[in-house]
Amino acid sequence: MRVLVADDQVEVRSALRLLLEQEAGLTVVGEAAEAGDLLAQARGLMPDLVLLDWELPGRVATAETRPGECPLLIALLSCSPRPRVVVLSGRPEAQRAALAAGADAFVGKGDPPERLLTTLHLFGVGK
Amino acid sequence: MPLSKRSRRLRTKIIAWSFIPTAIILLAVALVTLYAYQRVTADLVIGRNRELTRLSASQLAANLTEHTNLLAGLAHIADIRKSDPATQRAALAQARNRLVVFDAGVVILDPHGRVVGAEPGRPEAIGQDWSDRGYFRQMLRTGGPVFSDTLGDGPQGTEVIVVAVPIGGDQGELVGAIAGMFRLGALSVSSFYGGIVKLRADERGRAYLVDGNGRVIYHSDTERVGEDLSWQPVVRQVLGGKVEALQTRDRDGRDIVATFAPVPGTPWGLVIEESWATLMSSSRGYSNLLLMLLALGLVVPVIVLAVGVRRITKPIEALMDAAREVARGKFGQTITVATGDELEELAEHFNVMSTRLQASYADLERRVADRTRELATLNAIAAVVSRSLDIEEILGDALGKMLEVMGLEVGGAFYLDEKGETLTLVAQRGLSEEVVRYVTRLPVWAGASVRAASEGRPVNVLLDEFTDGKLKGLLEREGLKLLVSVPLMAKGKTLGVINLVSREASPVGHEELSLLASIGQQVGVAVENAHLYENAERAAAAAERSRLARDLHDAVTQTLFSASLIAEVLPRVWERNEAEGRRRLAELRQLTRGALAEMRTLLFELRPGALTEAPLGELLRQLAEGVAGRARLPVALSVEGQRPLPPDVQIALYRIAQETLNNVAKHAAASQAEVSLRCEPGRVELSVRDDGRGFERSETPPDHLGLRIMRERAEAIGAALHIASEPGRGTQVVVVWQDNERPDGS
Repeated sequence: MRVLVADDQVEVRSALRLLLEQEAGLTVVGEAAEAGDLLAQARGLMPDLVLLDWELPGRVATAETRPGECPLLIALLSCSPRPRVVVLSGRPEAQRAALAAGADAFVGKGDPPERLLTTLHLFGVGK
Repeated sequence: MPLSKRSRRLRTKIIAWSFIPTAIILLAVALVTLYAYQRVTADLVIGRNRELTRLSASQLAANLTEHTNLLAGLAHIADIRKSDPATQRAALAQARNRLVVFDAGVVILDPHGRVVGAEPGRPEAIGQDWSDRGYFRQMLRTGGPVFSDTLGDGPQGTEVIVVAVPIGGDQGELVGAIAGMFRLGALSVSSFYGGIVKLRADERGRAYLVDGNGRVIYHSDTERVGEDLSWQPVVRQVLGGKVEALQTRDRDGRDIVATFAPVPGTPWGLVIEESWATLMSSSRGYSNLLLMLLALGLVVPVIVLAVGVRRITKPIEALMDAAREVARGKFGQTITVATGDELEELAEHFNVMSTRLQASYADLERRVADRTRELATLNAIAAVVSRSLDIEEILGDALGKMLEVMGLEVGGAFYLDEKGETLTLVAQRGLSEEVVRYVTRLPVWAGASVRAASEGRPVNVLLDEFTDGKLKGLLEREGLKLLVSVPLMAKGKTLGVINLVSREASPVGHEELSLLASIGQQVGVAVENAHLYENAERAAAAAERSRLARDLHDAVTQTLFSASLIAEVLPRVWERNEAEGRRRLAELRQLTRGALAEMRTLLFELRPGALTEAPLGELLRQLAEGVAGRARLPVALSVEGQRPLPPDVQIALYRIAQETLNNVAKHAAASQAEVSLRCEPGRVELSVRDDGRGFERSETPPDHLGLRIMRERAEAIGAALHIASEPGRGTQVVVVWQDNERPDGS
């Protein structure tokens, strides 16, 4: 599985890459620190899964945003082939919003690390 | 219409309305009276004339019997009664002397109407047949004396009037007639005429006698004797036997009254004419008098009215002039009218009104002046209390102004705490040290201000009413007698009290208390304002701290998350590649140290006072460590000089460094950063530099990167902030604070 990592903090990206590289069957194909860059890479690299920081900075050009919509998420999900999107956040309250906006899964940054691994296995990682 | 014209119109109106109807009525009455009088007079005169004429006619008739008696006497002479003409002639001649009155002679007729004899003799007449004479026939019919109309039976045929009397025989048979004749005309000297002449009423009137044919027997105009007046209606009427008086015209066209009556016992008629003018002449005098009186009656009232009306309208004009002056604004104008009537009363009322108007105008002016003064005072207070947001300053200024307004020198301003129980002295004037010490903190219910504070309005409090004996004694010693307590109100709540103390014992009046209440309200509002401002400041500060805490929490979370991931896989990594493992372990160490530093910074946010307890250098070290851990970049710190800083300066510098380092961590993508603090006497310089992306100053709005807040903080402590940045060339933020210490410590 090809994974794209998106987080504005360099230490987080580095730690995630380290974690993901230990799993068999997972390859980190790219890193993005802001929304525009993420979209470009997603369209270009066509990853199977995107690890997205909910607080990722940057604006996505969009026609209209209704409340509860995340334009970035919509844009990502509209890439073809459609990647799986797992949202990460330091704020537990972001879970409901992320799932309502269309994310496939949510993992809190305060959760123990095995939670992230379990979630990834759900999507067929390590098969 | 000008006012003077109006007053003339009034006069004209009065004259017109009182005079003209009167005049008309007078005129009408006069004319009617005149007319009536004339008619009555005329009627009377005519009536009188009619009677006079009738009497005259009767008188005439009576006079005429004289002659018939004479003839009747003759007719009784024996010889005359004989049917012998010669005897009769001789007897007649014998009675000659008695027949003188008949100036045309006497004639004896036989029963057949033949002339038997005449005296004076008329031989030519003897034997004539006069039986056709009307008088003869009438005499035969009536058997009594008869008067004839004018006929020509006189000597030589002259026109005569005949009076005939029958001669009766012994057996009563008619023996003959004896006829005496009168000549007509002015030449007649007979007494017959004499009687008639007396008939004239006056010189200008006319009287005439007409016979049965309408021929004039006698006329006062002697030439008209014998005229035929049978055509005159008057003559016709009188011959018809009527007694009447008529107003008509005479032959010459003059107005006359003609009265007529038949002469009884004769076929004649008596007509008396009098000129109308003569008749009416007496009444003319009267009607002239009447006309004169009428003229007087019209003229005199006009004069009286004109004079009298002026007497009335003059006071009215005076009244009008006075009213005009009042209308122009000269209140208090009075007038004197001494007419003793309604106008005088009106003038008195006017005077009263005018005086009252003046008084109330003056009163109004005074009130307006008072009100203006009050407004000016309130204005001044408003300016004073809105100068500051500091409660001490506000209360001090308000106290000063209130004392100024009341003309007093001693007073104190108190602030009431939140619970409304304790008054704290905030500002005072003219109080002795002892008093100040005593009143610095007072329970509100124990003091003189309790009533004002609870009732919410200014109150006079005499020293005698003080429940606090010690304070009473203290104030009495200074000669103070009265306290005026003014509550400071906002939204119906008492926030404080200002007490003014006076050496006079007379309580402050209602109006001044009202003014003080207004001032109290204004000051209350200003105090409330200051509260709100404080609250707002505190809320803003709290909000900011909250934001920083959140940011720190987020930052720490990221660091610990990363650390936990590394820790999770470290065993596997170490097994695969020890060198890589060691590297990751070092990374883990740095991350955890960074997290700890962040936590320490977080503690500072939760306990703001801690920021001023440690030296600035120490705080900066913490910040640097935190950012180094978070952003995985080396942050060099250099501190030169060490000196205590004023708390607000220390906090401001710390915050600016913190914000800048946050920006470095989030946005700069730098490889290293440098923080330096240089303290010199009189000058402190803080600098944060990184070699990251930088940003375009002109395109960055000040809200972005917290630049505005940084600038505000620098300004608040009077420091200079310099931000230098170029895209691709890094960023440097420098804060320079000059220590301008002044002798009084500010």
